[in-house]
Amino acid sequence: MKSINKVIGSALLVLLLFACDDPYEGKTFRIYEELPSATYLESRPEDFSMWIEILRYADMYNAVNQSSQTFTLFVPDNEAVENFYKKMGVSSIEELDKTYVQELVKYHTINVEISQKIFLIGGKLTSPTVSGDYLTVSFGENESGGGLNAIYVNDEARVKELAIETINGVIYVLDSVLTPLVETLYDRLEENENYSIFKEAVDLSGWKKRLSTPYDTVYSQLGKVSYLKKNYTLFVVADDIFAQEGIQSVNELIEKLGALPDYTDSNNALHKYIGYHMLSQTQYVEDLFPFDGQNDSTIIWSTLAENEVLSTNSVDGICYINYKKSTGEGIRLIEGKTDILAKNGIIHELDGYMPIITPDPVIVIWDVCEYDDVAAVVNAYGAENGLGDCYQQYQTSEHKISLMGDEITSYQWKAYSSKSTGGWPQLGYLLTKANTGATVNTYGAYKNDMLIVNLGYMGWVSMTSPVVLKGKYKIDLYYACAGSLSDFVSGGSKCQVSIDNTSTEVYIYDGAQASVGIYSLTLFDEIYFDNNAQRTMKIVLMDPRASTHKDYRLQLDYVKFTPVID
Amino acid sequence: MKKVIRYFLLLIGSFQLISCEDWLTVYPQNEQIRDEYWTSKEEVESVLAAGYVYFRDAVQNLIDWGELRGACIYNQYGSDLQIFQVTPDDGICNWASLYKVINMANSVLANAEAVHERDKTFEEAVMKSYLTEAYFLRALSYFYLVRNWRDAPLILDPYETDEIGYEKEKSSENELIDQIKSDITTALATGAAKERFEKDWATKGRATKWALYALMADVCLWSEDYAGAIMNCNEILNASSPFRPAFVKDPSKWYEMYYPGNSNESIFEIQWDQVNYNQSNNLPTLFGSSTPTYLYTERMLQDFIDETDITGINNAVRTIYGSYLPNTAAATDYKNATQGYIWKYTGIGFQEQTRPSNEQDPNFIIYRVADVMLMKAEALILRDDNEEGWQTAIDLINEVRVRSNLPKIEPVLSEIGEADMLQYVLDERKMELAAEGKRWYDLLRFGKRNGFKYRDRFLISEVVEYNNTANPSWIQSVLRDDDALYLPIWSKELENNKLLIQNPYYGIVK
Repeated sequence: MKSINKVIGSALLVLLLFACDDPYEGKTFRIYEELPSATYLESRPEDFSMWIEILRYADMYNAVNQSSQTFTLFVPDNEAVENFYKKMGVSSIEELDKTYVQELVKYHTINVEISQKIFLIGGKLTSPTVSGDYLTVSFGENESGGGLNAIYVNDEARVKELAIETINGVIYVLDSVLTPLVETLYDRLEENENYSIFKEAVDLSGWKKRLSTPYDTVYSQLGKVSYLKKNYTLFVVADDIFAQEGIQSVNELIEKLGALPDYTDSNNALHKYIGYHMLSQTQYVEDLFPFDGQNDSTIIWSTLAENEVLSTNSVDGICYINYKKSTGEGIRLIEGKTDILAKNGIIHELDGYMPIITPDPVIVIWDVCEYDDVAAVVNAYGAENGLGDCYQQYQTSEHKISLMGDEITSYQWKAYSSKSTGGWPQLGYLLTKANTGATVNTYGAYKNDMLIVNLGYMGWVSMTSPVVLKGKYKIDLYYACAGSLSDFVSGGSKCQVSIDNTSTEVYIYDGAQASVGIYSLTLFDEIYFDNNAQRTMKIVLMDPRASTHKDYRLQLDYVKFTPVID
Repeated sequence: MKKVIRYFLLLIGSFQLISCEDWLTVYPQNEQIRDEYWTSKEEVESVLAAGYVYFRDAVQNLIDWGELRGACIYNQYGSDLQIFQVTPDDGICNWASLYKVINMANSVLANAEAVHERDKTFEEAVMKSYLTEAYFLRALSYFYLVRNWRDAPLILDPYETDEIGYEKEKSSENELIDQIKSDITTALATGAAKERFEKDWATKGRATKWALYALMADVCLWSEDYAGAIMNCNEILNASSPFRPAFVKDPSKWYEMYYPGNSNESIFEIQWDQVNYNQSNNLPTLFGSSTPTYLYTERMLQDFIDETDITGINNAVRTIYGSYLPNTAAATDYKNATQGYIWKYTGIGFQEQTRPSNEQDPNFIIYRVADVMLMKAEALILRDDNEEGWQTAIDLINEVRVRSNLPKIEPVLSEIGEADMLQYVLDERKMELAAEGKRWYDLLRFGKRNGFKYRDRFLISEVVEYNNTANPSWIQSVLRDDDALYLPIWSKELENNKLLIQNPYYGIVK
């Protein structure tokens, strides 16, 4: 109920901020010793008179002054606004389109209070702006020093004053106006002349819609409408890089790829080529490349081209994509042309044209919760509960988030009656917690999450893995145990697990300890795959206690495919 | 009435007279000593004793200030120090505990001579000896102030009446350092500083001439006077007096520095005695394995595990069961430890057993000989650019290592540079003096010397690598700001002393 209220509350607020007329005009507000945010700004006209004008023009002055809501306002001072006017070639705010200015103010407003402590954690702020974007906080050094003197928002504006407390929130004063992210990935392709071949290939192969749509509208069976933000990582090849391969036009690219004219077909070579340059989710450079101390390491990423993967590699401290040991070569990102943000993702430029290849076989760690729709549902839960983008981020307390059939397509499952209590959903996402001061979650779970399976006797769930390359593998399942599962530890709990068409019966919890932690069992000592493909894993609960025991559930963490070298 | 300065509350009353046996047992009844008080030797004694007692009150601050920014240990309940987010409103930047000690010292220095005139039993030699202790207490307190605030008000007169103006501007680091050196020099010049006291605890718990030399060496290192540092270290390390503090070479005796404490190696430690005087402290519970406030960070735990690997468990000295206790069920499983408990203040030897309930009184060591040896090594590296000096430095480091059953380091001196040499000292200090309130000052001293020549290597890199609670890019940014390396003046202090100017780094924090 509480969360519904919150949702309604934030929906109302969004409506108010979206409204054209100031709905609070003429209303009076409670008087405190401290001032509400807009009134506070007004008390310092020498610094903020111009932002006040902007708030009024956007009909948002009174909205951010309400005492019933809390806000974090990012307020450029007068000098910053003057510079902004110069940049925009105007002398007053009225010369700018009102809708644009409203978007601008929304981009500078978050409707929760972000304290100085939280702010100084740095990185992406966990709560989005009213415009639905996430601001980032970074730290540097400048002529005034470092630390508090060198805090930046979006690497664009320096914070001049931190967390000024007002009765309805906090204010951060900026030395320049933030540029809202309004461009989509597709806009970014369009605005850069050097991306013309890649852009045309996107147009022809039917990816344009995905790259130009920040939100997917999802209608549930209950009639609920939700907007799920979809983000992508796009590896773009610029025209001059194509030229190095002798490709001067999209037709030459098509020729090089040997693509037939059905470009939008999922098996078409051009469609696959562009899909191969896309990952789901926003992956910054620091997310892409595994830095494992001094050791070389590799991550395999599923691309949006069906069954095609690419690898990111750290070799002798150098970052590559699709590094081949045999040749010692790989593709690199172009320095200074990475982490180009767009409203719906991020762009990195490549120094090679990156055809589809099969990377060298490696260990595959499959986090069984790593699906876009799971991420979207979990982040929507986070937004409703003030946790921000909480997917794969441990919290101060555990959260068990139900996964419902109308929102999730990555899992197929069949549920039967279950007696288990304690808030364990039949199929759910367990977001772990970490104790105060700790830097790992209490379970030690990979990526801070687990899949809860509590589907009753003979219930089952199936899901598909990332692409596992052709070859022989040992397969291990990693799962969590806890004190409340002590009844299952002795002898284990029978499950049938199949990978593609090969089945085995295993006893989960056998050999584990009845204490919080991650344990493993080997599903298959050796299994052979004759192609590069995603694998389907199905787990059937064969233990009658799945329907009768009050504590029954599985908490699945990840599956590990280890190549077996003969 | 003039505004009452925060750190010297006005209370009416006088000290109870105390006998020598009661040293360090009686808390003063007030913090302001009136003119009419000073009539007898015992009164001087009791005020001097109060200075030591006030140092006890400062110990948890000394741990927080000296360790949390240094990142080898952290407060598991959180601290603004370890995340480099201290604000002027944080109680952690209240320096009152140190100024209380300074006031006691100032009172003794201002009045002892007059009492000597009044009380014929107060012999000159005794009086002078008391003065050396007061100089030490004042100098040590200011040295903590310098290392934490850089600039602070220099107060040399006691607050005895309301007639004194309480507002006082800051003095610069150089002025404070000059005063500290002058105090120590004055104390040593009288020749009255004792080599030992009658009671064993007092030899380690009151300021001896060894304590004065150790402090002077430390101050010289801080102020980049390496010849001075070496000279003062030598006064201890080359002393022939039978009462000199001596490096304990026997590895099996290493833990005796912490339990029972007051070892031969000790030079000065802050004292408690529960059995005889019912003085206990909370160090065994702040540290230790029960529900500790302080723990080693994961990176520091790894250092201990690595060093345990070298000696093996059975020959471990300053690692497993010495400086740390792993959270594994069996000691042999130490490599899988996920938590390293700090063991110096909680244990009773190389074992898991903890201090009994009637011995919750570990001392807090300020100086010991191994510290002085490593100070000398550091100064030798920086003073000399020749292999002879550097070899002596390596020999000193190796003496400390061998005592812990570790192999000697044997670098080829012609092939390594000053920074590498300094790294040996810094690493050795980290392991040997773990959790003794030194780490942050070490990193700051190594990082800031010679115009911050080694800021990246010894300050930023080390903190980023060991800190487990703050964003690395935030740490890097903060540590690039010279002013941010020091604490803000507490906001209440600023309200009461209008002449104080806040450290400019903290000016924009609201």
